[in-house]
Order: sequence, then structure tokens, then C-alpha cells
Amino acid sequence: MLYAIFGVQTFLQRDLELRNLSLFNRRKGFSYLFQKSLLFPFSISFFLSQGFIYLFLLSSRKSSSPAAIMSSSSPKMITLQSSDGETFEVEEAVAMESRTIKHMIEDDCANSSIPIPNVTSNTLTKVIEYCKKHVEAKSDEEGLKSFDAEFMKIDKDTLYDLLMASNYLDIKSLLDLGCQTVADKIKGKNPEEIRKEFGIKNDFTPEEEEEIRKESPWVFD
Amino acid sequence: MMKRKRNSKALRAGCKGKREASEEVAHFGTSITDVPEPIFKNIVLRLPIRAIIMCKCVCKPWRRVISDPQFAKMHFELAQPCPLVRTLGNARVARMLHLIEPSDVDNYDSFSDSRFAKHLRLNYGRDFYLKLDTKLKIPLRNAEQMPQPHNVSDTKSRLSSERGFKKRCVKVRPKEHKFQIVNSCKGFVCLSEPSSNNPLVVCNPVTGEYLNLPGTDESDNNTEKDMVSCGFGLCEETNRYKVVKMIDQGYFESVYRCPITGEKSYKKTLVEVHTLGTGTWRRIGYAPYYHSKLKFTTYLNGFLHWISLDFGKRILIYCFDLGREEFKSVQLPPLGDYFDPIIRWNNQCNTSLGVLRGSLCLCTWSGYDSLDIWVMKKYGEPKTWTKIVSTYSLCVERWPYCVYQPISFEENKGLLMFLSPKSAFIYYQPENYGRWKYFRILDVKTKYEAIAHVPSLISLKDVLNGDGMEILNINLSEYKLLGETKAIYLQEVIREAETDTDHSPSEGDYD
Repeated sequence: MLYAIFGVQTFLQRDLELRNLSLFNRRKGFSYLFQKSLLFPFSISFFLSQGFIYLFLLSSRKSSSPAAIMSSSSPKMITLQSSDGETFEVEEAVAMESRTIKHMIEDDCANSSIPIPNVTSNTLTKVIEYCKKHVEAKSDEEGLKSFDAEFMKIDKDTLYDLLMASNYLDIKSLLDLGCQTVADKIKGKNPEEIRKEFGIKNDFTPEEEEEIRKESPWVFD
Repeated sequence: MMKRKRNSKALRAGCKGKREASEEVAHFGTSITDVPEPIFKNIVLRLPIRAIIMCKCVCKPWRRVISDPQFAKMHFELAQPCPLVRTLGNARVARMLHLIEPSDVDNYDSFSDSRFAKHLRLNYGRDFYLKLDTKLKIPLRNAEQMPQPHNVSDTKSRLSSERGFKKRCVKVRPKEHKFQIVNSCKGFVCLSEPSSNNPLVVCNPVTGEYLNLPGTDESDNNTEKDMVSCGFGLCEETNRYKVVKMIDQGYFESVYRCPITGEKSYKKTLVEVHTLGTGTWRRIGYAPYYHSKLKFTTYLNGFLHWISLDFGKRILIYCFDLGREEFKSVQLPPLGDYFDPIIRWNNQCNTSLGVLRGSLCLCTWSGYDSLDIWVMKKYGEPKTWTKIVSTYSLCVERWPYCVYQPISFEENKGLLMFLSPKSAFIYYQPENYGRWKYFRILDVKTKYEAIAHVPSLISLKDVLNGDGMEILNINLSEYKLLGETKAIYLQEVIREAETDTDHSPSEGDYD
């Protein structure tokens, strides 16, 4: 198989050389172009083919040994354990979205499973779902936006749990998204509506309410 | 009889409220009040000022977090300049300032560009308005001369108070009670007497606090128009706020050579400085000569700036160093030979000064009948004047010819400018094919003015370090003035045709 590939590769190289030679010959000197035209496509095609060969070999043999040139082809799995004992296996890249876990991995504390005491399995599932999507579709801005909008269609309990989990795990984008969602729920409402929305008790005495009313009268207009 | 009824009603309402609230609290597992404080602060810092003030009135823990001076400082660091709009009508005292928050503009922007909005506009002729909801109040001048509410023995007013209206509308004369806005610095606004422009009050419109400046013998008696030029700013070295005023005192006996322009003149202008927290004005000498009224007071980096027109109709930028308390001039950008600072038909100066993205900005009309916006990228180095916008090079429609005031130009957002003669705003997005939106304040009767203001929750008390100055609150007054509840709307004026169709999609294109 290797020889076949090598054969194809040399054939392609020769073809490229011939083509380039005929092009350049018209304009410049022979020797300079000969070297340039040979070296450039040769080196590129050489490295590309080597890379493809390695990938091909790895995928066919399913070995987990570290590759020489392309190192991201074999994903390292990290185990996370939620507060209620459930374990989750995630790819390293996905786990690294959390800066807390990233520091743990870098400090070499992540050999066995990482315990995450403050986060329940339900919340951890959601967090992993978010991180996975953001790692997979990193460049697709529009897709991420619609995913985020759908992701945030959750009830308030899950939202608060997500906020606290993303704060503990230090996942900035998820924390920002959660905070913005809550902020959007607060915008445009007067205090009574905010209390109703979030189930907050009005703990002001009538005198205090009067004082507040005086301080910012247009709030109650 | 009536008292008992009222009490029991209140009790019943209170109990009902409590029961309802406790039921609601029992319903949810976690509550938002369980969320730790840093996350709560993160949430509240994203809200516009209006929403923050609403949150302050929700419950005690929230009130405590928002009233904390540290929180106010955090909020101010993230705040952006917004236009503060006020009516210029002569019949009104104009106590209300309307703040246009960035989130309002964002929401409107994304909404009005949507397919749904376009569809409505085309098919039903529906126009969209942006309502200016955030209303801030400034104090009344000579408030002690106002008629006391309980002294008025009007039967009409008595009836309305019995019906439960808290305040009654009072008629006041603007001549006695109106203020003029000088400039805004670090969230505080300086107000002056309209006829002479004598600075009288420093206030924070958001928190409602204000401070009366001490009067002087010299300036109290004058009633001549525009005898005083003034400005308010922060001296960054000592972290004290100062107010500067230049009083026109007539003429010198002998010729006085201006240290800045080098011109000889007889005009005598006394300069006094007041540091907030001290009780007096200090005389520091005479100001360099300026021909016309100093306009567009701008504070930046510890310096105050004004624009003035010269004899030969040249523009000059005057600058006052608040630390060293001395004047100097700022070199202008290379405006070109064809530059003419006067609008011929109304003899107004077509150049304005402002602050954009933290740099000094000059907006002016070039000789080629287009708007140029210059920004001094590095403060103090006139070589760094850069032209960031020039409508000459834009292929789309001509911008209207009038005075443009820069308000804000934040990252990833458009340039917002106020056109004072037309009481309108232009929102220009350079990335969006150079398209611009034109918003007009919906009011045929009066004109409006706007200044760039950074809303701040910082209290005057913290700023003055408890120097024994009496800080009063606007909202403790009982009056409601005529026309104050009137809402102000901004209407987007959709222009009929775009001249260069390559740059903008046509009306029939919904993408």
C-alpha cells in the first residue's frame, strides 16, 4: 500500500515539475527555475503525502500511539464525576473549555477521574453538551448563536444551577450567556413584575417603600 | 372611620402579598437570591440604568448590593457615553432629561432591520418609534421661591389630592427656575443660570443628588447675556473636582497681550476656580483673549476644552489645565485651505468638539461640503490628529449640512451624532456599507439639545469625602410640573431612495 501511494506521489510530482518548467521557461533562466520549480512543489507534496500516509495508517490500525506530525488525531478522554457519583467521559478538548479543569490537567492532577463536588449530574450533562457544541462548531458563528438561544430555553432552577456550575468550572462563555439571559428577563420590568418573575419576597416595610418611592418616583409612574 | 378602613385595607394587602410571595418562594427550589454575589453583580452590570434602579427597589439584599459604592465604581468603569436629551422650549423649565441607553439603540436596530419590520413598513406603512423611557431629573433653580403645595387653596387641587394623586401640577416661570446645562464630567453634570451662564449647581441626575456652588459678589449682580464662560472637570492628580469660570469684566486701561494667540486686546476676563468641597472661589488671574463665546465645553484627561471663533473667523481650541490651573491652546488638525468655519445663512460655527472613544474629537465641514471627523489619537500630541470619517469618500447619500455633535462611537457599534439645529440623531455604521440611520425627535413645537453623558451611580458624598458640603436630593420635592410626564419619541426617518444602489439592498430584498 505504501509503495502504491509513493508511486502515485512521485508521478504527481513529476507532472507538477513538467508543468511548472514549461511555464517558467518562457520568462526566466533555466537553472534558477529548475531548482525553484522542483523544490517548492516537491517539498509541499512530500510533506502532505507523508501526513496523509500517517493518518491513513493510524486510522486503519486504530493505534493510540502519539503521531509524529499530526498529534490531534487521537483524542484523550477525561473522566468527570458529578456530586451524585455519576461519571462522564469527555474529550480533553471539551474538558479544557473549563479553566478549572484545564489548570488541573496542566498541574497533572487529572490522572484518574476529576471530582466536581458542587455540580449535579443533570447540570453537568448540560455543561458538557454546551462545551461539546462550542468545541465542534467553533467557527460557525451563526450556528452557535442559534444553539445558544435554544440552549437557554430552560427553567429557572436549571438556569441558576448552570450559572453556579459555570462559575465554579470557570467557563466564561457559558457564564456570560447565562448572566445575559437573566439580565434579559429583568430588562423592561418594574419591581413588582421582577418579584413575580423570580419569586422574590418583598421584604421592605411600608415606610421603607415610601422612602424608595420618593427616591426614584419615575419608577412607579 | 376613614383611617381605620385605610389601615385594614393596607394590612389585608400586605398579608395577601406575603402569602402570595411565600407561596411563590416555596414553589421554586433555588431562588435567584441564592446565586452568589459576584454572579449577581455580573448580571446587574449588563442592565441599562433604568433597570438597575428598578432592581434597587425589589428586595433588601439586592438594594444592599446595588447601593454599595464599590458596585457603583464597577458600573461606572463599564459605562458608555449616552446622549442626554432635553427640550429647549422657552415655555418649559425642562427639568427632565431623557437618557438614550445603548441597549435601547441595539434593540431598535436589530428590530427595525428585521424582515418583519420591513414587511410591516412596506405593506402597512407602520412607523416605528423608539420611546425614551429613562427620565432623569435636575433640580429647580430658586426652589425656595416655589409656591408651597399646602398653601395653595385651590378647590381643584384639594379634590385631586383627596382622590389620592400624590403630586399636583404647578405652573412655574422658566425665567426664574430654569437651568442651563454646561457640561458633563465623570457622570456629574454642571448646571448654570441661563442668561449669564454663571455656574450654580453640580448634580448627578441618576442618583438625584445635587450640590449648590458658592456665589460670588462679582457674578451675582450681572444679568448681561453670556458674561460668563465656565466648565466643570476633575483634576486627576489631586482627585478633586473643580469648576472654572471666566467673567467678562470690561476692558483694561492699557493693552494686554494674550499669552496664547499673541494678540493684543483690551478685553478683561477674570478667571475664578472653585474646588468642590471648599467654600469659596479663588481668583487666579486673567484669561487669554477670546473673541466670541466659548462653546462645546468638553472635559478630557484633566483638561477642559472650548471652541472659539477668532477675528478672522478662524477656529481656536482653548484648553485649561485643571491641575496647573493655566491656559493653553491646542493645535488644530490640518483642516485645509478651503475650510470655512461659518455657516453662511445663520452665521453659526459649523465645528464642534467632543470626546469619542476616549480621545478628543473635532467635527467640522470641509471645503468640499462634506463632514470630517478628526480624532486626536494620543492626547497632547497634535501630530496624531487623524481623520476617522469623511462623508466625502462615502458614495451614499449626502449628509445634511448643519452642526454635528459627537456623542459616542463604541467598539462594534455605530457612530452616534446629534444634529442640534434639527433635533435629530444620526447613527452611522462604518462596517455596514456606510449606511446611516436618521432619527428625529418627535416634536414639532420645540427644539432639543443633547450632551454626551456617562450615567453613573456614584454618589456625590463619596466624591467629596465628606467635606461638610450640604448635598441635597432632587426627589424630595413634592412638585410635578406641567408637561413633565410627556414621553419623548424618536422616529426613524426612512429615506426614500439610496443614491448608490450598489451599496444597499433595495426595498424589495428581504435578505
